[in-house]
Parts: sequence; structure tokens; C-alpha cells
Amino acid sequence: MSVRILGIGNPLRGDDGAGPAAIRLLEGTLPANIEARVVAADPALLLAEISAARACVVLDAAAPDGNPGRIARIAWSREAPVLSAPGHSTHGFGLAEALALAEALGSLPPETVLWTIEGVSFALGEGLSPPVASALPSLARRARAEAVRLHRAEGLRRPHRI
Amino acid sequence: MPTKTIKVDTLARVEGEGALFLKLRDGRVEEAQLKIYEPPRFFEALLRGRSFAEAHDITARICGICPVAYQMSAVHAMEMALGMEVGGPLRALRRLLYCGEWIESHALHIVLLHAPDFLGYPDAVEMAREHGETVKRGLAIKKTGNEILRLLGGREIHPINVRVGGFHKIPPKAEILALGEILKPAADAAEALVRWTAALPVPDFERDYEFVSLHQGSEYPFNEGRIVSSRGLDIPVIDYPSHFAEIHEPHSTALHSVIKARGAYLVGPMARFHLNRDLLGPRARAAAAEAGLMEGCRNPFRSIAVRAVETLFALEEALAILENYTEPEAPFIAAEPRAGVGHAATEAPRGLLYHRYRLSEDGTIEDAVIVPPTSQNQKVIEEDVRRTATAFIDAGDEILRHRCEQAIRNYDPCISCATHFLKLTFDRDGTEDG
Repeated sequence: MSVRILGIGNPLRGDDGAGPAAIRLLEGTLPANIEARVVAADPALLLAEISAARACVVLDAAAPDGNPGRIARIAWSREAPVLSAPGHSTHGFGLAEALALAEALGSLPPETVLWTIEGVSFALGEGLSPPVASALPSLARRARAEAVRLHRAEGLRRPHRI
Repeated sequence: MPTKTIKVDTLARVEGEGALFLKLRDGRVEEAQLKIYEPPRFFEALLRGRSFAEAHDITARICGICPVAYQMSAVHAMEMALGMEVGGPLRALRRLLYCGEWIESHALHIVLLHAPDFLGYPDAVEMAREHGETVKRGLAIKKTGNEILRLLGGREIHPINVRVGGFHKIPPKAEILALGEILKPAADAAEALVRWTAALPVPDFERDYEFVSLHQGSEYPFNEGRIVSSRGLDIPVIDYPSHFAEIHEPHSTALHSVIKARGAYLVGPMARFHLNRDLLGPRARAAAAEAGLMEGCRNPFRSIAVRAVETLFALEEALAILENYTEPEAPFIAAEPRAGVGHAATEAPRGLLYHRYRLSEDGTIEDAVIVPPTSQNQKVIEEDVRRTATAFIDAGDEILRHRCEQAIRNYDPCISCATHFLKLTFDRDGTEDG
């Protein structure tokens, strides 16, 4: 699997389930060599999933910031401090640290792109809020397009076999 | 009275933050109030009216990091109420599952949450740049714990295979035995981790704690035993309510657990180790001796090494269980509902976790009491933090907060997942600092 789409979140905490829900929408719609998986918001497991890919698209819910359902794209780089700021991840030691840790350990795929969707409620309970639920197909589409782009770029980088 | 508030909020946290209030007068800490854990009253209320068969899955959602502990305390309490005993291979599999949780929880805490404090790094990411091999090794150990949970529990982090009476399904014997292939190298790595943690620089800090844990006399405890303490307490679990209480201290927003006769007490790896260290497996005992821990450990800053010893023990124990494993005849023993009261205490990674349920004739839960380890440690942590704050009172706010967080992290409370989780409020000599 050269490209992975990872959906992160806890489906038992309202909009925190957006990442996994997006992965479910993508199931069965992806070309070969692109894999979509739900990943627990556990730094070590996340790290293992990220390191196994050559390029990675990560889907996560963002904390409320006044724009429910808003979708944002962040291309990972060491200089992307935005990942540590409030509003970009709902997890404590979660996504931002897992990516930074992977990079510090030399396990981060050369290209990692984060797509977030701003949530409304993260209280205990299953189910997405209406703004997130209605924006979800758009998130899934963009994730697929990104993964396809990354896969093509990957293919161009590989040496030709003669 | 004017107060100064320092608030650090680098990451949005769903679970809520910790709050520490320090009243400083004439260079002394006059008052320290710590609140780091909300008692699970919401869950106790939610459980009323639910079936005895649902409690373990509901309570497992209280703590995302230690679901097995909640499941084990719940099923054991229900089994007591229903007059059931789960022994033999099913008992062994429950211990194996608990080993998995200790391994993954302890390894995560040691390497990613706690070690950076001792080496002067702001977080694990910075530490990983210079100690990459240690971090990778810790994460590899953690992964074996998750693999046990995946195989036996049905999922890597939230097991769904546990039920009253045993398990829903037992994995094939070959798959269980195959765990040995990853556990053996992990045990070697854990031995190295004990040495590494034992060599970390620690402050001189000792208190005469009252340690409390399970004790059953023939094995290092997970699911069974009497509740004992280092000051002579020795009671069956059903007597927990007679000896322990949760009280509201005056001027405090947090509930404090106390031993009624004496006050604050400590649960967790240091307590278990103190009261059961001769029951560790031979490799863990040898590693603890080499680390200088076997004479006794009352320095909470050495808890990181004790956690590493327990990680090695859990791997050693898991391998021993595999060696003696025979397949159970059935995945579970059927439960017959009846009215009654059930109590249980099991050893979560963070310490003693007590559950009590009252059931009606048809097995419906009429009421529930859940006392988590971090809530029980809150008072002792507050006292540690007061002493730590006193030592660093003149060091500046950032260092003071960092040292208080490090002191709290000695207890591995659930909240310490965020790098900066503490909202610190001062009341300094009645004046406002700029």
C-alpha cells in the first residue's frame, strides 16, 4: 500500500467520529494501492499506521472555532505550527504530536496532508451534528482526490523497470 | 483578594483540564488545591436501570486508556453478586488481557509522557530527536500490549470480547500461542527499559505514604485479593465502604478519598510493588534489584522505574500464561440474574479500581458506585504538589508549573496526556504580579 487515508477519531464522542465516518464513505471507492483505514486516536498506533505508508492523507475533526462543518487542508511540514494551535485537533497527545514524533524518529512519509472538518459537539454520544454530516461527503471526495494525486506523484518518482 | 492566573492552552482537550490553585504568602505555599479528576458520577447515574450484562461495556468508556480495568472490575463485581466463580483457563485469559493493558499503558506513559520531564525536554517529540532508539523501543513494547488486546479483546484499544462469565469468543489456541513470538523480544526490550529508567536523574523526595493495593499472596495481583495497606489494613473487598470514604474538604472543589481512620493514601504501581514485590516473576525481581528498588521505594519520582519493572513483569507473566495455556471448555459461564450486591476491586495500571453494584431480581442495576485510582490519589498528589511548589516557589512561573506537572505525572493520571494540562492560578501575597 503506497498511499494511506487515515481517519482518526472516537465515534463515541459526537463529531469526533467524523474521521472514521469519512473512511466508511470511502470504502469500496478507492483505486488499488490506496488504502483507507480508521485509526484509534492513540499516538503509538497512529505512528505505526503513518510510518507504514509512503504518502498519507489524514482526516480528523477540529475543535469548534465558529465555522461548523468547515473543511481545511494543511500540508504537513515542520514549520506548520498551526497544527499545535487550538482549533486544529481535538486530541491531547494525538495527531499533531504523532506526526511530529514520526518526523523526529525519521518515520514520517515524505508527503503527509491533513484534512480537518470543524466540529460542533464532542460530548459523549454517537452521531455527527448536521453541519458535519452534510459536509462529510465533500471531505471524503477531497481526501480521495488528494490520495489519487499523491499516488500519481509517487508513481512518477519510482524508477522505471526495464 | 487579587489573583494572578496563568493559563496554558496549547491544545483543545475534550476531557477537560487540570486546575491547581496556589496561595503564596511570605515565600511559602500556604494553600494548594488540586483538581485533576472528575468522579464518574455521570456513569453511575447512567448505569441505573441498565442490565448487569451491560455494565462492563458502559464503564469501559469512562477511561479510554484503561478499558480492560473497568471491564474487569465490573464483571468481577457482577459475578460476586450472582454467586459465580470464573476460574481455570478463563481466569488465566483474563490475567493475560490485563497484562496487555498494563504493557500498553505503562510503556506509553514511561516513554512518551514522563521520561521527557526527567531529561529536560519539553515533550516527547524533542526527546525523540536525541533518544530515538529508546522511544522506538518503548513504542514497540507498547504495540505488543495492543496486540494482546486485539487478539483477546477483539480490538486494539477498546476490547469488546469481555462479558460476565468470561469472553464472547476464545481465539484459536495457535493464535494465542503465536503471541509468544512478539512477547519474547518485548521482554528483552523491557529489561533494557528498566535499566534506562533507573538511571534517570531524580530529585530527593520521600514521604511516608500509606500504600494500598490488592494482595492475594500467591501472585502479583490483577483481579483478586484482599485490600491491604502498608499501615496494617487487611480487609476483604466487600469492606471497602466501611474503611474508605470520599469527602469534600473545606475550601476544595475536588472530592478526596481517604482511609477513614487516617487520611490520604496512595494506589498504583508504587503501592502494588511495595506490598507485593516478592511475588514478581524472577526477571522482574532481578531487574528491580539491579535498579535498587527491592529495598523499598518511597520516592514518587522513581515511579517511572517501578512502572518499567511492572511492564517487564506483565510480559514475563504473559509468557508464563502462554506456556501453561489450555483451552477453556467454553468461552463463558452462563449468568443467572438475581437480586444482590456485588463488590470488586482490580488493579488498573494506575491503581486500585473499586466497583459496587446493587441488582434487582431480574439483574437490573439499581445503583452503582465506581471509585477510580486517580480520584483516590488526588489527595496524596495534592500534598506532593504542595511540597514541590514549596521547593520551586522562587523559580518563576513556567518552571513552577512544569515541576508541578512533573510531580503530578508521577501518578500517571489520565489527564496528563496533554503536554501542558495544568491551569495554574496564584494568589501571591495579596498583590498582583504583572
